[in-house]
Amino acid sequence: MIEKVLERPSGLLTRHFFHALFDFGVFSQEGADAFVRVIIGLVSLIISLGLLLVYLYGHKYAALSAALTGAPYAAALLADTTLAIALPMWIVALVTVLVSHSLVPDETDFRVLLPLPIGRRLVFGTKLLALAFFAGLFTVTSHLAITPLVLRISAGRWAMDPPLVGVIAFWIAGSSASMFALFAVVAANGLLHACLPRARVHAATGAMRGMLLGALVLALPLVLALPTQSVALAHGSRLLLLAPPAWFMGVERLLLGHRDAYFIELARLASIGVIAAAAIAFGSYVSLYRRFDRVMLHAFGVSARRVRRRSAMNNPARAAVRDFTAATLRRSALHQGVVIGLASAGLALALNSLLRNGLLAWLAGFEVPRRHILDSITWMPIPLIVILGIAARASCAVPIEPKANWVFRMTEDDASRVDHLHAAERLVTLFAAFVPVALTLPIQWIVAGPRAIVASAMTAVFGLLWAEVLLRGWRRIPFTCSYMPGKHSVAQSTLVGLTVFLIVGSIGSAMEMAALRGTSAWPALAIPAVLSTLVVVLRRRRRVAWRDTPLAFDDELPSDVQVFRLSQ
Amino acid sequence: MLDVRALTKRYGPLLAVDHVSFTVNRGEVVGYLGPNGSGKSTTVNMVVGLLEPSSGSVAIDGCSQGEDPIAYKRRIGYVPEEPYLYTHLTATEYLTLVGRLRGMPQCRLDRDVPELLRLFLLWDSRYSTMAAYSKGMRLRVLLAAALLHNPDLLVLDEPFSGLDVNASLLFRALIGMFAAEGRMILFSTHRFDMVEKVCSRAVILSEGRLAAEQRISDERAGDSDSLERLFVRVTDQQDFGPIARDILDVIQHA
Repeated sequence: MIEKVLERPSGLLTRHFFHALFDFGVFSQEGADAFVRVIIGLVSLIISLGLLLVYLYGHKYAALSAALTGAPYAAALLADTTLAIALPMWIVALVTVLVSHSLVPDETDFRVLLPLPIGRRLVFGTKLLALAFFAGLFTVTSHLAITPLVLRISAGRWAMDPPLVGVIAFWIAGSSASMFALFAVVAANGLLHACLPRARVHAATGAMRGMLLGALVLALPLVLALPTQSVALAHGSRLLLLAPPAWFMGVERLLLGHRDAYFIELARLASIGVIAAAAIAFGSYVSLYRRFDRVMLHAFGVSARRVRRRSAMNNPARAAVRDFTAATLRRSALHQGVVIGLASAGLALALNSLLRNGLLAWLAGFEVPRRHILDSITWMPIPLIVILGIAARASCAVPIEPKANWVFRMTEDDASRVDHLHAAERLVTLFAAFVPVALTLPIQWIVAGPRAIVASAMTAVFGLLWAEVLLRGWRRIPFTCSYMPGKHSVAQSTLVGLTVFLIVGSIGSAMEMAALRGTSAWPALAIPAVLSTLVVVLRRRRRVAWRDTPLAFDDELPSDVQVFRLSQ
Repeated sequence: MLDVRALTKRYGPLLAVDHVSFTVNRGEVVGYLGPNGSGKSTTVNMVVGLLEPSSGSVAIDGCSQGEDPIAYKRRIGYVPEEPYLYTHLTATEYLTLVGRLRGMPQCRLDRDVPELLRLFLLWDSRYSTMAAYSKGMRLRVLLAAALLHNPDLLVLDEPFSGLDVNASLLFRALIGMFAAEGRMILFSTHRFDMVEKVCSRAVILSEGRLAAEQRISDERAGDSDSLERLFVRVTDQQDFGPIARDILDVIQHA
């Protein structure tokens, strides 16, 4: 029966569109297989994190059960339920943004599918169905992962509802929240497709994807801070009316029969949000459906002004790769997504350090220990340096049109290899050193005055050093080498990344602190001088290695097989 | 002269190209024919330097690919079988990229790129990214990129598939004139009619080995079907009449 359904045109098309949602168009067969392994690893990670949350919250709720009154438990329950709803919502929004290139039928669908004896309605319907399956997969997985946590927090001495009923209410409210996230992203994309001229849609959707990705990453600390809002929720904070996860917590409370005016207002906002997002999403879909042929037959274009802009440069090979890199970053939504997604994580960590140490309060004139302020501004550049550098390197490693790289293969030579690789060096250096300086110098200046220049010099040198670390062994012209994700296990990479981040962060932060707080001038001068010398030496060695080593155009699995010597 | 000597490519136990030798003289257009899987594309990839031969040598006027690959590749223009391009670029951007990678000065690119776009009928689409181009338009971009640096040897891998009639006629005229100026052209294709119209000599490959070599001018003077008959004979092609009959039987009984 199921096989029959799957073999029908609707079943085949739905499967095709579902698979396309996992296809970024940049992987070889081996790379695609590896990507599937990464997805499985991520799903396992989500489930493991859910179980970890149960362990962490076990202690908290044991203490709340032992409390003399039920008020602290009731307040914590509201905040933690909001978190339990927000996490799946955030995951669904993130994956929907990541696949937003496939949310509506595109030109390829138009040219390949419509000449076949199938209707436009079937193409649009199956695309929607595939999207529903895709969102459903992540909604169910993330809710399954969170369910043990909900069970744990719903049980206890002061619990007002049976835990099983609480879980059912959570699933209804949480699924609605995830659907709201899905509809909101689809609506935003659909509006752009429906309202903008075709020539602008590509750039606009790319920019919006970047912004949404950045906003989501920046929102993560806020989501994780929801448990601290228990008192605000218990007192019916008006500010939390702006937080969509809180709306659906209101729905959950109403489903459990707690008809408080605050919860009714939250639930009303949730209903309005879901209906509005769904209406806009479906409306834009219908609009695109009606004028699909006109929209698709209108060609993409780029600004004539931008095409005319040419810089006269003595080094043609360097200019060629530089312009290719810039054009790709300007037009490829995937590469923008990689840069913005990771860069936002760095920015979120930096902002978090500022907010945690009370910089805003200090700026507003409140009394905050100066040591805390100095801690925050010396730590702030570190996540920016580390993560922005990684973002630039990661985007360079993701290919665009891998089979078109023959033009670079044919023109590779020893003399111009360093010039070909210069664009990668430039991009990584820009992100690891200069952007962190530009972002942190104004704040450091406000706090520390002219000494901020010394701290910025330290940031720059430290960024240059990190760029050298990232470029060690690099042999790729940006975007031209095939890519195989999942060469290392997710857990191993995370562990190594965190260790490196903490070590690099501690050393860097200590050096910046020495520059800002030191009474004598010599550490402020000596440390950058030593690091600069190190950077120069490393850079020279890297460039010599670049001249002598052929470029890489095909990513390879690590060849060093690790053997467990179990017999010894 | 392009001199291909005992060119061999092995993929593990599979011998894809087995000691293939041929030459392309200046002013000559050589058709490179063979059935699917005969090793045509592998040979072409080795000639243009995208694939390293297991053994054998390739040289242009004594400049060996093995000894000085950079100087060798500078003398080649290549149009691949599939129009693999960076489709997020415009034609202008792509031609400029290729020209710069080949070390051409910016002033020459500023002069030649717009001119080539006009002549290849791509001028009106110069602000569109190539994602919106038809296959024929993409092939025209590839041919312009292959000619941009004025190469000594032009290697064309199935360049006429997807071209409209006007573009095909332009290609043919261009290939003829390019050869008349003393350049060499290696033209890999399945199409006998094109080989007979464009080439001065044909090299036929079968199962990775050189099966025959034939001057086209002799063919034109004689029986026009003889190249096709020669191909069928040396590549052991079966009689396709009964297969065609069987296909019709299948679809008519469906």
